[in-house]
Amino acid sequence: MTVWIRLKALIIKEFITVWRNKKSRIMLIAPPLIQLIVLSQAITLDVTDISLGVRNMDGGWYSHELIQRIKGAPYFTKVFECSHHEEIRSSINNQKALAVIHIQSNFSRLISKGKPAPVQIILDGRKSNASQIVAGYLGTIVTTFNKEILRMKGVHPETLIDIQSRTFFNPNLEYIYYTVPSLVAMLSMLLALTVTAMSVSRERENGTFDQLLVSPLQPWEILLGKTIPAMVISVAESTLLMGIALILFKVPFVGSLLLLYISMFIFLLANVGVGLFISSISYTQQQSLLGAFIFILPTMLLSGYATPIENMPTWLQPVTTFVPITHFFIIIKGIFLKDISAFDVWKDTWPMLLIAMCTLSAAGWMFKRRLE
Amino acid sequence: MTLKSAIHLTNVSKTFKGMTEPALNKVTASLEKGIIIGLVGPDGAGKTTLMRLMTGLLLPTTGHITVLGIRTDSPRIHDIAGYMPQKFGLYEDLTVIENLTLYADLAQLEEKAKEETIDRMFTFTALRPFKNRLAGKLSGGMKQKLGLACALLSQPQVLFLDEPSVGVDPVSRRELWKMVQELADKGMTIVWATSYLDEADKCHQVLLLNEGKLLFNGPPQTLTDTLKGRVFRVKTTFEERRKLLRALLNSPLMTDSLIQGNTVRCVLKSPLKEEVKGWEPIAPRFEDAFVDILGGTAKGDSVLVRDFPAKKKIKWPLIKAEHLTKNFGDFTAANDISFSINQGEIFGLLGPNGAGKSTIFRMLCGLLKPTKGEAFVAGFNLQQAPSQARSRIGYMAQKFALYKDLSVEQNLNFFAGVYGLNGPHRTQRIELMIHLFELDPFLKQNAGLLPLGYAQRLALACAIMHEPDVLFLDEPTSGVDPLTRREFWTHINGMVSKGVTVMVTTHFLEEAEYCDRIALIYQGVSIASGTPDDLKKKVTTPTLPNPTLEDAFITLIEQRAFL
Amino acid sequence: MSTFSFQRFFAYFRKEIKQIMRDPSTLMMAFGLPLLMIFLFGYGMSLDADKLRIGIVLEDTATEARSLVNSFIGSHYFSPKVGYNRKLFQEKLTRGDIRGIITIPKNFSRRIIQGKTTPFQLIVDGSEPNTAQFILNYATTVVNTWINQHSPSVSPDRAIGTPLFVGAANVSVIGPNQSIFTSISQVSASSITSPSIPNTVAFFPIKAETRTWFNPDLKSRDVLLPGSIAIIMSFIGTLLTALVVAREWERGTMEAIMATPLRMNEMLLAKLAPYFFLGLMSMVLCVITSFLLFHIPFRGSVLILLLSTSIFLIASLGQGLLISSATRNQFVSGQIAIMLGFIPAFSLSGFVFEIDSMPKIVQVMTYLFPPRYFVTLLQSVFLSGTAWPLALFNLGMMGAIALFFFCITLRKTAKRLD
Repeated sequence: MTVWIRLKALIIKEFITVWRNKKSRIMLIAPPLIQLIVLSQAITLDVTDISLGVRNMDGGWYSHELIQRIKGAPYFTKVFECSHHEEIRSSINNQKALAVIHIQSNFSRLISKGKPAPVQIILDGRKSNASQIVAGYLGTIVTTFNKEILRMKGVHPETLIDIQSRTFFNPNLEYIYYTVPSLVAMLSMLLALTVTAMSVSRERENGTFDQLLVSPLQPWEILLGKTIPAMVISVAESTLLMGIALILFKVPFVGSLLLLYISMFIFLLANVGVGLFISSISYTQQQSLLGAFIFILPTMLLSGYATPIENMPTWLQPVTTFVPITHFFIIIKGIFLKDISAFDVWKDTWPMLLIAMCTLSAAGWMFKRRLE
Repeated sequence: MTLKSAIHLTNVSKTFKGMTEPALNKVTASLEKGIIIGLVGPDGAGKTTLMRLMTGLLLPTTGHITVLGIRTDSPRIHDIAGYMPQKFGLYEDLTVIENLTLYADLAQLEEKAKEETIDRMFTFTALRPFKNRLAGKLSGGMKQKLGLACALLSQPQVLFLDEPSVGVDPVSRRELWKMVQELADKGMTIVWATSYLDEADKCHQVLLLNEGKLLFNGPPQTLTDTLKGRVFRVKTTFEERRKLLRALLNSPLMTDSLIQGNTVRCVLKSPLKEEVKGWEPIAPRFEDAFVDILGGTAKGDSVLVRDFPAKKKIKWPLIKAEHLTKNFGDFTAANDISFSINQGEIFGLLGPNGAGKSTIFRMLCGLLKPTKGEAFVAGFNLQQAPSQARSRIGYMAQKFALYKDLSVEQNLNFFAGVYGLNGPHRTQRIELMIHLFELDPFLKQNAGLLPLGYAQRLALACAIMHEPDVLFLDEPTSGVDPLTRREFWTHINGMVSKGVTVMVTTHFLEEAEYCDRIALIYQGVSIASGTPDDLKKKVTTPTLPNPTLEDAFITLIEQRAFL
Repeated sequence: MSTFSFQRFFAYFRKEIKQIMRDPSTLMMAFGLPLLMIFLFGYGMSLDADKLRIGIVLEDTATEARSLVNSFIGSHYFSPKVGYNRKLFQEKLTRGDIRGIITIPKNFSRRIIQGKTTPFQLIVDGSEPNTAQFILNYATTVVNTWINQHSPSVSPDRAIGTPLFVGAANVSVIGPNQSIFTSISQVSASSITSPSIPNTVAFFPIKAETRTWFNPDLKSRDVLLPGSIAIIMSFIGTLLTALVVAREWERGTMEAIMATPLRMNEMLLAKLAPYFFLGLMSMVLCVITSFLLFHIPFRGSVLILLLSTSIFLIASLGQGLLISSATRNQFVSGQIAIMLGFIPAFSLSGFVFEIDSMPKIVQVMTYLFPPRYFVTLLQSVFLSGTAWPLALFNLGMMGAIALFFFCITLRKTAKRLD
């Protein structure tokens, strides 16, 4: 009974601390929302709005038609003529164009004669991903055009292997269905960390932590009193972000909401644990800030947020097991898009649970140890 | 403008953004050249604001200030003025010599002059042995001297010192004063802001501020003299002194009363018409005048006394230290400290900065684990104590560890909850605290924005709300003005009369007079203990027949240091 | 008014240097953090998918089918698991154990020998769009290569002339809602029945020859690493200075310093200079590490590298100083530094995510952050050599931002307390 009274006092105090100060209230809501909205637009590996240079030395119909087809494609919004050879070089060098098409003067003549006619596509290797995709777009246009030329000539090519591709879970490969759930996870993690990482060190600097230690509160009560409010705030924020994902971005949700909440709870608990641990081992707020950074940076890179984990060297991949968000990325995308089973959720939940238990007990232990 | 005046304040007002009341209100004064000028006033009177205005770090909203003919909005002000802010302005991660070199270069001293000046500063401050020590590792007194040296390196014509003696022990305070006196003798003008009024007594000119207004400007003696014939010493016994103090404070004739050993020092509202037996007239001090001009002290009965339940009588000591020793690495911060404190006693831990007071204090309330020995509070070892045991102590720290982002009411609610108060009892206790400490008008205000005096009341309220048996006070009145300090002790005395046991650390020796017993800690060892009068007796000599507690303190420390 | 004094400047400068040397956390930020980050970026970030985990459902066990499977196994793009149970693989796909499933149907070999059009089903996991696209590309490449190698034996009369899928890997990249180009039929999971345009084998008149400048093998690491250096530097630059002015306010030394003859411009320059050199050293560390460990090429001029690093450092250190002087509070400074120093650099610099593909309003925002320019400069200086107009534009923009920050900071830190 008295334990509950004490705990309640602690929890209410934490909420007030976060909520009463206008600045910290804004910091809690505005940045995650802005980031979700801006970054979901920014983070895409799609390539659109491509600027393309064309150096056409051929006056014939075929080259003209090819260029018209390229101009007609929705990706190539900025197609311009290169009037001389040097311009090919300079427009690639200066990133005026992502790619340049170079057509020789005998292009149409060769086609008419039925001989292979080369088209040169020059790509900017400084943008390796984008240039591969652009080459793909151009290749597709060329192939379609080829088929039509053949058809016009009365040749009906036969297909040997017909690749029928189906995309599961995200039929149109909408990038945003991938980005938004990842961002929800990432931003919830950042919040859980910022709420906790400085909470103990700030009390230490202000001297209020001593006040707690001489009070009847037990270390585990202080730990609970810090964990519960942080969890409530983080879960609320995640819910808000998820609501935006579903309503504003219309990300499909096919899995079980209950499973998502259970795993999200454990994911947030793991991060709250990390935050409290960082806080409990630092003397000053500056140290906690640095500590939080040292945790967040590898997390961003190793979680598969920007580039897939599969692409990492094999020796590095096991390290990602220790990053809670790696597991949650699998779960959140799995539940949003794929309806994965409870067993599959559990497979990625227990490592987070383990991290949560380790960090929380370490933090609680540090509260006590600081009496030394 | 006379040649004699160094600083002219003409109708100076300063209103901060978002505040309706001006922090300084139409202050006009001229400050004489080549003397020490004291700047005094209760907390929040505008002392620091005035200091910052005079050094050009703030510009007045209206009016203007000239320092030696230079207006403070000119950058040239910094070529002639030296300034030591409240936190001394030292880089704690630089060594003593590096700090000095930095400020010498900033003052653009020539290479040779620089060496000479720094050398002189070393002699002046006696810091030469600590030349290569990090400033952060210096004791409070040494930091203060170094801060002074840094401010002096530019060889300023005017020197501004903002509360240089807060948190500094009496020995260092005395040394600092001597140093500043020397400077004044050489013709430097010094403005010294302080809440220690014995320092103001020694100034040549005093500016007394209250609520942004200048109440008095002149030699302190002028103000002190108005109290001639109104100050008396009343003899009493050790046991009766607190009762007498209360009675005197409650008398409508009284402006101020203070315990001094086995006597009570009192200031009357008007001179006595005839002699009273046992009332020995004594010379007034500036502090008496200060209290008088600000309307006198509060009543002697703490409202606490009425409502605070009396504690059950306990025969055995409530606080007991047995051979407490604490080592940090190979440094011994406390060495074999033993004492016991009985119910209803006020026990003071005194000592210079870094002597080990805080270490002992923290071991007793369970914040530090002793290397050797044991500490018991109310019969429990707080290290392993169950939370019920800890609910019997109250703790109030130096910096008033309140939650600054929480309102006064939320702070009270929080501490009530943490100590397990519940239901109607809790509501009643909180209301009582609000009533007792007159916190009503501030209930919704953030604790961080409270005036110092009220912050202190709130901290005390939070510490005693659960009616603890034992109260730990760590420098509870550091940097607080005399009026607030007196009120604070009225409450403490009230609680002690109900059987609460108090342990206190302090730098302020007047405050130590309230203690029943004192332990003087030096270099981790208890070098003397006893009642305040016991300690004074130890140093009484024919040349010093009536030593103050401060005299006793300094003498005892010096004797030990020469051993 | 006295003018700029070098004695005061150097005094303050020396003080900053000493403080840096004594503070392990600053040195950690300047040297430890970049090393850690360059390792993580270098090893951890790659867009080159290889050894993609896929499943192959083999319903036909004849020679041709197995030969095609061997092509998949032999390709460095894939690390396939071969099985016969389609359902099992679908579960694995859902779990994310594999990213795609290929089904080779029952009469595959027979139809190939007969020269008939043969279906070949590919299922990809759309929850990882980029990987899905890569699987589509690579699978097409493998199939085409296989056809080209095997077509003589299949139908020798077709094996003359130009291979049909020149630059095959690129032919069939599909973007969202791009049905008009598709040469691979895209069938959504819900409607398998939509019509499919077959891949064809015939002689195509136009032959597309792809040439990739600067990075012929399209190694993403060579592109990502210079970008990463820019990200690391912007992060470190901002963080280094974000706390330094706020710290002086919190510790009360600012008040004392302000009361000395030190001028504000002297102070700001003296604060900037040591961190500038520290930043340069971190940069050298990053560049050397990327050379020795990751063997990225360097084709530009050292001068441009130095120039762009310097201007960038001034801009990002200036940003840190501005944050610090505006907040006077380490806690808030730190939070703002994360928001401005890292996240925009990571997402809005064009380092992984193409700026041209972002919505217009977001594109405009990218111009406000110096990392955008620095990423471009570094990618060029490492991979393409000096392109003056590009370099000048980006240097100019960064310079303008740097100047802007410095002026604002100077105004913000007038020598007054309020």
